[in-house]
Amino acid sequence: MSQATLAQPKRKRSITQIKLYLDLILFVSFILANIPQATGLLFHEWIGLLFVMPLMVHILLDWQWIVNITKRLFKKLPGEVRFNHFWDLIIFVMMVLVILTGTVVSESALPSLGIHITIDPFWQTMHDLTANLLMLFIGVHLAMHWSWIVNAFKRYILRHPVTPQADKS
Amino acid sequence: MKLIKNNLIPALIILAAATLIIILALPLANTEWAEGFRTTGATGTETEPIAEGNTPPALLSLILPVFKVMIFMGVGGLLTTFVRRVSKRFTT
Repeated sequence: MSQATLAQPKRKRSITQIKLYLDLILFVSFILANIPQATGLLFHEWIGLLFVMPLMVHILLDWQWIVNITKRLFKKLPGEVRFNHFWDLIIFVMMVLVILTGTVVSESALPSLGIHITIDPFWQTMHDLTANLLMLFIGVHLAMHWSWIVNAFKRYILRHPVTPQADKS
Repeated sequence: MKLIKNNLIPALIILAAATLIIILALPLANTEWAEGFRTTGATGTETEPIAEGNTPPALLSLILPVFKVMIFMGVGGLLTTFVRRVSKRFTT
């Protein structure tokens, strides 16, 4: 028997599966980035900067949805979809602000790269404020997508069969 | 190649949007409102130095920050769930 016939067919991962794994990475890094008292300032700053990458992929994977909803924003749309679109935009603005303010008050990451910035108490306050608000906003975001999270988790992590109707959410 | 092509423009749009937010946010530092934070010197959330011999146990210093994140996210999530349930009751 040839090597080719013995080889197992490679299972293609669905986009939902990729999204779920990425979202899990995003969630864990978000928690880790928000506990500098436990992880230390250096880790907090680096994970905060590196957070940009999974965040970017998270947005890119839903880009088509963003474009579609933006185009239909002034047409008839379910209230929940409209709210999600608006909320996601707010979260994006907050994320940018948290990363910006975090960068300008960096005490470990940027100095280790040879970049020294005088820390402004205003940006420090803004960083704490926006980070705390972001936690609240992410809680809302997770609750709005809770059925998707539960179904994807059951299907790909717990390997439970999911009904077709539940899979649509 | 196609993957890069399909994602390059959206990625550039996202970066442009982020740059716009940064450009709009940076002048905030020159406002009187920002000056207020500097003159009072109170950031409100600055961690106070812990007195020697008064350091919290290692486990607590790990659990408490996680607990704070869970509370913040939990409040947002529970409020949303509550509002959604109430609104569903009124619409159906």
